[in-house]
Amino acid sequence: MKVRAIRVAEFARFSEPVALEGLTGGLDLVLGPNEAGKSTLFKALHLALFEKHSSRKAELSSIQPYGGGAPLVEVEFKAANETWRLKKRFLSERSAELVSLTTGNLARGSEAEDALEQLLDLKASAGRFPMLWLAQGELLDKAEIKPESEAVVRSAIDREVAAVAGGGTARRVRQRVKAALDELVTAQRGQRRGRFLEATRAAERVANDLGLARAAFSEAETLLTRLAALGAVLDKNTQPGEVEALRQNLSEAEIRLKEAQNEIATRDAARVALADARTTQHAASLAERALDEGLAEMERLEIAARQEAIEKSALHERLSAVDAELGEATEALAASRRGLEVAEDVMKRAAAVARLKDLSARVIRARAATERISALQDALHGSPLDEAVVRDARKLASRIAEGAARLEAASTAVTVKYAPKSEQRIVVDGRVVADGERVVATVPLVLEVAGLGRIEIVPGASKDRDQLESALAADRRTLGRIVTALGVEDVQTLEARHESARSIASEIEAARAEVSGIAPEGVESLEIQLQAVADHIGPDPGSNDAVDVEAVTREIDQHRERLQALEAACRAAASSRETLRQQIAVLTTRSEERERRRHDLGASLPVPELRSQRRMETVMAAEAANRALDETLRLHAIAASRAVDQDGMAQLEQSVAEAREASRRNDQAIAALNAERARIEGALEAARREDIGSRVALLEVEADRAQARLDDIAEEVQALQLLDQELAAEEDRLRESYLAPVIGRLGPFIEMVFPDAALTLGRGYAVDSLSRGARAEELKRLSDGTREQIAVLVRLAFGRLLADQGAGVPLVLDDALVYSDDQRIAAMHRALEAAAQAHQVIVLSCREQSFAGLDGNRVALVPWRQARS
Amino acid sequence: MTFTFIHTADWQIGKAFAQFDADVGAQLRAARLEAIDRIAGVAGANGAQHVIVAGDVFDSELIEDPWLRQPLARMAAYSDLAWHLLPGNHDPARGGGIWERLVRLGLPPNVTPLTMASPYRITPNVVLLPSPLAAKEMRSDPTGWMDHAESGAGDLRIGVAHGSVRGFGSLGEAAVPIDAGRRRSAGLDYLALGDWHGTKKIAAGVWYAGTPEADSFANNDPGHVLVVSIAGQGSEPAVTRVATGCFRWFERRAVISRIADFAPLESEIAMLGANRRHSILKLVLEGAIGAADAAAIDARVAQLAALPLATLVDQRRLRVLADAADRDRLADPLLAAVADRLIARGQHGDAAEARVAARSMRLLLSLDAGLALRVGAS
Repeated sequence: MKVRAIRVAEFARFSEPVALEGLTGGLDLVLGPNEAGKSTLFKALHLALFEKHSSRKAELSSIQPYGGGAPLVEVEFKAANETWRLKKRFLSERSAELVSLTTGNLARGSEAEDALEQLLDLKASAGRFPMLWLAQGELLDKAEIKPESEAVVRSAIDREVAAVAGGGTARRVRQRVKAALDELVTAQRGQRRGRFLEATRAAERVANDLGLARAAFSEAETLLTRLAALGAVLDKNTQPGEVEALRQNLSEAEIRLKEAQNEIATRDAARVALADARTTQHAASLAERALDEGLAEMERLEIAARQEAIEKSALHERLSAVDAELGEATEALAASRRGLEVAEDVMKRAAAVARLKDLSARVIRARAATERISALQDALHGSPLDEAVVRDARKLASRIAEGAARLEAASTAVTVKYAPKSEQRIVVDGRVVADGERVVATVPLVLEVAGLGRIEIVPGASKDRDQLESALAADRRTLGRIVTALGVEDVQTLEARHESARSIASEIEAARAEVSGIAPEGVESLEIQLQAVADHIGPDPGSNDAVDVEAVTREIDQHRERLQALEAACRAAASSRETLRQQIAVLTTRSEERERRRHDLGASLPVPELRSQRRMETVMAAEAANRALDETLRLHAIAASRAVDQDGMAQLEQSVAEAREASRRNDQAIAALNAERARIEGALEAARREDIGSRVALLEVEADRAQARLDDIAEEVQALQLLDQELAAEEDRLRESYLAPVIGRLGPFIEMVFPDAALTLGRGYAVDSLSRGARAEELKRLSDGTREQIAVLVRLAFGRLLADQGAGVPLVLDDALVYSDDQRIAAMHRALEAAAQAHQVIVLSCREQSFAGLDGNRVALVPWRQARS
Repeated sequence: MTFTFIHTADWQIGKAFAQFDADVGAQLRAARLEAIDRIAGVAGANGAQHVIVAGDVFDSELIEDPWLRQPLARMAAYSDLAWHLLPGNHDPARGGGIWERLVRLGLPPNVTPLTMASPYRITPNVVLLPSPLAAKEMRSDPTGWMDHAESGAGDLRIGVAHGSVRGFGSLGEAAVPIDAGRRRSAGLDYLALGDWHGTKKIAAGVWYAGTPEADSFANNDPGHVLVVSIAGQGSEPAVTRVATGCFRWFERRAVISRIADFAPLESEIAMLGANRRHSILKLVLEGAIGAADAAAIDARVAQLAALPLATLVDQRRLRVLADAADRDRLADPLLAAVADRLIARGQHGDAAEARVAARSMRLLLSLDAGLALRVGAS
């Protein structure tokens, strides 16, 4: 395909119809400044070829003309040896028209679209256009070609090399192999997935189930064996002979035990009888002895009674004598006491009279002192005794004197000195001033001088003076009030009166001390005491004056000594009498006890007439009891010899317990065995319900099948992996031959720009590296300029490949080679010129100078005058 | 007077046939029950009043009660027949075991378990000497006691045992040894044996009756009962085998190297006609075929397998080998090259590698031909 002309109207930025005319189909250069509309024009070409006129894609809004209308594109091109004109209008007036200018054939609308698709083989190899149409900046960003473009290249190569190498079907086969593998194992680590994983899990699950079922089956088999063994044991345990033997054994042991218990009971009864016989014998013996002892005691009691009667009579006689002694002593004692009392009364009265005198004297003194106190207190009445008041008066007087002195000092003083014969001529305030007198004018003062006139002295006015005068006046008023209140004229009087009052007060204190010493409890108390003593003595105390105190005292002492002797004699007589009475009481008590005993004994003993007979009977009874005891002893010895001892009894009891335990154990064992049998039968019933045997068989088959399926899938995976591996190996081997068509066409272009260099292509026909000499450099490490140049050269090779196969399309470079230096761009120009020999190369650039050396057909945008038509 | 009885064994009631689909298994299980009716029919037809089952009446001690009740009910239905059942290694007579269960369920009056190794008189002049098994395995010959077993003068002595006769080429499944000379040493008029599922005469008057309904592909003539007539003490018993089997189990082996080798098998199966629904087939394919032929064989095996009631196919020994003919089917040269490498692996690798290579080849052919990707294993 070769583009001859591109025309647009009402298209995007073009307000006026413009056209690019005269494209040769070889190397066409469209040069112009930026924003001249070169790229827009080629966008219009792209839409005309690849976008259906009926398209309603949103991006078409970008070609909406600024001034309104329906975008129109017209392209003239040569293809299939004919010249064609394609006209498409988009958006509001959608239409399409394809006309062969060679034959005149015309198609419109969808027919035109179909014809265009067929003409340019758009459906099968649309990828060739984007591969060779490179917009601004695409070369650097898209060094690799797109997959659809890769397919175009691959298809082109296939057409060239398939006859010898093959590969198209192989790639599809490998894709399907990979897809199949991807369903079964992960690409990264080869882990199982999909039905492979499901089969693995299913096999594991079934194997597990089988294991469990086999275990259950084995358990059931074990239970069957156990059940059989259990049955045998149970049969043995429940055999009639076995059970009967155990019962017989128990019965015999119990009988033996019962017999032994009976013998022990017999022995115990004999033991009781023996004890009874011993008691009887002992009682008979005691009765015999008691009778003998009673009789003997009765005799002793009677003798003692007689002796005591004699003794008691003697004691009574002695008691009568002591009583007489005591009477005499008591009378003498009373007489002595009366004498003592008389003497003591005399002494007491004398002491009372003396006390009366003393009290009388003290009362007189106390009364005198009391009266003195009263008189002093009268004298003291009204005297200034308050120390604080006196002290305040003293302070005020002192302050007044000081203030007066200061006032006087501040006042005018006039000292009067009379001339001879002039005495008393000067009068102040009506008073004659003495000669030499100093008159101080503390207040306005008038000196009247007889015969001369008046001299008025006025003290100078000043604030201090006023204050001084004011304070002085206040103090004088205060002092005046104090002394007035105290009833004195001045301070000196006050001082004298104060001293006098203090003296009187001292005297009062002394009188009070005296009263307190005479009558500590008060004068009245003293008077009461005096009155009491006077009352006691009576109205006539005078006789006491004759009392001889010493004689009376000696008399009293004598009475007291005699009294002591008589009292001692009385106590001794009383003591003897008490002793005798006690002895008599003891004898009486003893006699009473003995009589009671004799009475009791007499009651227990037979009457004296029967005592001999009774004694005989008692002796005979004791002998009979002795004989009975001997017989009982004999019987007890026999029973004791027959009775089983404690150890024997324990053995018998042990035998019974053992026999009983054996029987119980057997019953228990039977019960346990029956329970175990029931449990096993229950478990077996469960196993039967589950049909465990069939389940094992079924699971074995299932396990085999699951394993077979797993093995099959594993083998399938192995087979797929092997196939993938072999296909990859073949693909690798053939890659070189596949790259040959591209490498062969790329070589001359590389030689033009990079002499002695070679390119290495990789997957997707992308350039891997550039080798210059012995050094290979990765594409991504090369400069932007070099990478862009290589990308253009590879496209030139692709373009040549397509052109060689009659499917050539224009190679469009929009503002390419912007990073190339002058030398390299010149070389690129040669390459483009060479490429244009095989297919159309359209170069769009704003850099006219850079492409000045490019030998090609230069075209420019021109008005499209026929557009309206 | 001639005494006639039926000798049978190895009923194995309740046996599960897990290798088959559930419905087939159910049919095969049911057929073993129905065999009782057919045996009763044979007895009636031959004037026999006693049926002696020489062991393995039941398949397992763990089968459910219905599998015990059903045969009892069927035997009870033939009240003019006396059924004598010997415990075998599948159903040993042990305490608390299956025979006690039978008793608990209620034995019909005409059914007698032979659980004791002691003479058992079944007619005034016929004594059975049974050797019941009390375990699945026995080290000693359970028939040894017969040598000393007493019976009346003129009594017919019929031994009944279950186990493997020593000296007999093919052992049965039970690990129980039985002396082949027991008939002579014990003075038996007949020794009725069980365990070997095929009908087999060991010696004069010593027979394995075999199972009345086949249950495996063993080629040992199963599916019969024996009608035994003894004219008198010391006389040679007259033994007649009578077919009772409902299903035919058979195995076919074929060595395949090309598709045509499969055709005879197809012809034979086709000739089964209506009997095919009572046929159980085991198909064993061996040999080696090309990968392309393998797919065709798979399809034809599937068609063939659908004809009998059930078919088990074993192709484990049928090798699939890729060859030049397979390679030639591939148009793409690259695929052809891959095929060559796979063929080489198949030819030079070990068996496992060759198998994987063949599988790869089949996948390759399948994919190339646009067939489904998943290709089943052989």
